[in-house]
Amino acid sequence: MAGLTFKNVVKKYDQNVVVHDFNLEIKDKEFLVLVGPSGCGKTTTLRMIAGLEEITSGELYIGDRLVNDVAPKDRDIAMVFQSYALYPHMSVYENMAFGLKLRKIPKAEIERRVREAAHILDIEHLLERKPKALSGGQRQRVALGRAIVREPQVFLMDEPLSNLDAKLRVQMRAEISKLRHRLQTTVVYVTHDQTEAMTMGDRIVVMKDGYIHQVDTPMNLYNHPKNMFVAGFIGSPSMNFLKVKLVEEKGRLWLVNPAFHLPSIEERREALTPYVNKEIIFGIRPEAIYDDAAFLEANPDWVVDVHVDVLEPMGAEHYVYFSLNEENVIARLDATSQAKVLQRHKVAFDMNMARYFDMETQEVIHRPGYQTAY
Amino acid sequence: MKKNDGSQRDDGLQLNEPNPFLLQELCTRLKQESGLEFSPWTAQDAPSRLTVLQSDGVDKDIRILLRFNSEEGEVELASLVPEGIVPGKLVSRLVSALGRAIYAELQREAKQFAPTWTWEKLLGVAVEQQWDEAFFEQKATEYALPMLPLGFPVLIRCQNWRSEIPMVIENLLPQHDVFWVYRQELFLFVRAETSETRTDKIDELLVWGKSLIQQIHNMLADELGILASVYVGSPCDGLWQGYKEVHQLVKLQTRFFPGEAGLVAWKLGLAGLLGEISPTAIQHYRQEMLKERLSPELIETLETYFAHDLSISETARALFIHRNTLLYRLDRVTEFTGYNPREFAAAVQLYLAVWLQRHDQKA
Repeated sequence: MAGLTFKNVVKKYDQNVVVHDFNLEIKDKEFLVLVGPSGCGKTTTLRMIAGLEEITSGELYIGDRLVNDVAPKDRDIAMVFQSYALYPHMSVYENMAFGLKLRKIPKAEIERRVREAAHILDIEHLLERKPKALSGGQRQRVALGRAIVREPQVFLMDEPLSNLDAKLRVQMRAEISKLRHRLQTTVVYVTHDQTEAMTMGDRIVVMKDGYIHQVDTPMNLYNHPKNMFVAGFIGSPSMNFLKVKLVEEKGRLWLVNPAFHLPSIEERREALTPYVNKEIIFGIRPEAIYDDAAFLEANPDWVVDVHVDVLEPMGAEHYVYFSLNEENVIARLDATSQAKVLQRHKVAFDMNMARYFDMETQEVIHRPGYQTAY
Repeated sequence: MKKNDGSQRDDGLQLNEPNPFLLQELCTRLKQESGLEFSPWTAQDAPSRLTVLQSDGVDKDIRILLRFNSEEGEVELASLVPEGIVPGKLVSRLVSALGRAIYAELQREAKQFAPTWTWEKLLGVAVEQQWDEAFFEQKATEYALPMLPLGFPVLIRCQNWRSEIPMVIENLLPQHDVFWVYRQELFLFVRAETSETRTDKIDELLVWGKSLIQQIHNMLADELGILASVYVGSPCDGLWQGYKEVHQLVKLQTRFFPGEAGLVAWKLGLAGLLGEISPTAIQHYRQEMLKERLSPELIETLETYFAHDLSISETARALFIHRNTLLYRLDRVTEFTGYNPREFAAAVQLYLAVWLQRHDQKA
């Protein structure tokens, strides 16, 4: 088992920089998730760890060993991919053993490892079957088994659940989380799915355009995003952003927009004061918007009258869409909500949950109560 | 020596004519048997050939002509006889009979030890000698090579080569009909999982064909730590055409998709079309459209705008900017380029230019 260290790692294709000055320490036995939209550099980063992409500059360590020039086969890592290709003419046992045979591992040792991995993955009863006779979930387990038998220092997983249907994906998500506790190995996991990232990672690296935007625990990313991109990427539906002018009236700070006039809470005054009479971005999560009578009554200043454009009943809740000053806003309201499509409705923004961002830099203005994870 | 009807190629195979190696061997063995030096009848011999034929085997220059028909064509050898000896018709006929017997023996030996022709061997010769498709097909028919089923031509190019690569691929894709390792490249013809060609099955077939890229790429990466690019040609039953197609894909990938794990022939989109155009022409077009003044910010704005189907509100949301800011930026694009991205025809032109800016490595 080993941790990983990136020191100023850069990856370029010709003059095109795809990973910029990547600095990160992944702890031994940590489950670290790289997440971001397509083209953000997460898979390239994973492939640099695997040795499948050369590092243009910087240093990469697995444990204490500098591996920039170490061949992929000598890095002691195992990979699991989205498309779990198996050898069709081999049994499950042979599929799991094949990689070890290539590495000239003694037969008895191969037998021990395959049996043990099969036991961990609960596929002992499938060992004699051919891949064609397996379900999608079972095949993915075999693919995991092929990685486990290597007993690597680090597991690299590149969107391993993307090919599975929604139900199986949820099931396998839990299986992998359970597995990592049993294996006690460092895992670097790539996904574009923020739900997967939030539910599985000890820490998450949010990337965009080859840059790390934030490295943090799932809850810190949700509660204390560093900038608008992270705030918008983590959470579903994503955070609403509204351009407002910050003004001081009657001793309070107000967020002013042609569609509303909302007070900022007193605790943010100090951080927001430099922005008085300037435009800033006001961020509010859909789940921080309420329409129940008690909340509206308790917080009359936070109430906004809106025109409901679309209403999506989701069962346990309703997604309600409306516009404020031509900006679309989504509210995640309780299923008991009385909101009706194409009618006016009163909602209240929980200003305790409001986030503020600098117009120019798009960085968050203040992160009250934020504590770094490590 | 051999019939030359003008269609002969310099390919070294001599399938329709007597094998030159056999003729040489025939000369050697004739010398052993008769003590006479024979050599293949050449074009320079043509004037005297007429004379020889007229005199039924013996010419005025006292030459013996050995002449008979074999399975591969007409065998013709000539030999000068020692001074002072005048060979008659009988000698000539006896030598021809001897030659025919030796040649038949040589043919039997050649057949016994001749290597069996395979698709792989034929490809090897065809690539070395740069055949065209028609000639390749002709040779495949002559060698009676088995017909190929519907399948995908696949080319695998590895960044490094290891001897285990063919073994991994053979096990991953056991349904291959052709498996040819050539200069650290692997070319396969992989039988399609279904031979159905009905329209509703074609889509399924193409999905499977496309999945070959990830299957091969990932397996080599995982099993051997080898980075490979995989090129999959259109489903076909013609090997040479498929071989050429996958090599064309290599060029397109180098030019337009250098970071990709591979390409399939039926998903090239604009690259398939623009790959035919010279880089200079493309560069001129791109410069004319975008000028040098379009900033990275405006390029990104255009890309996001196109990615969101020209929707102002969706684009503004994706870029985290106010819609008025977006409108201002689009106006700037119009001002710089003369093309208004909010008009369909102009948007198409700008889309193409932005696409080229992003993808064409040569422009």
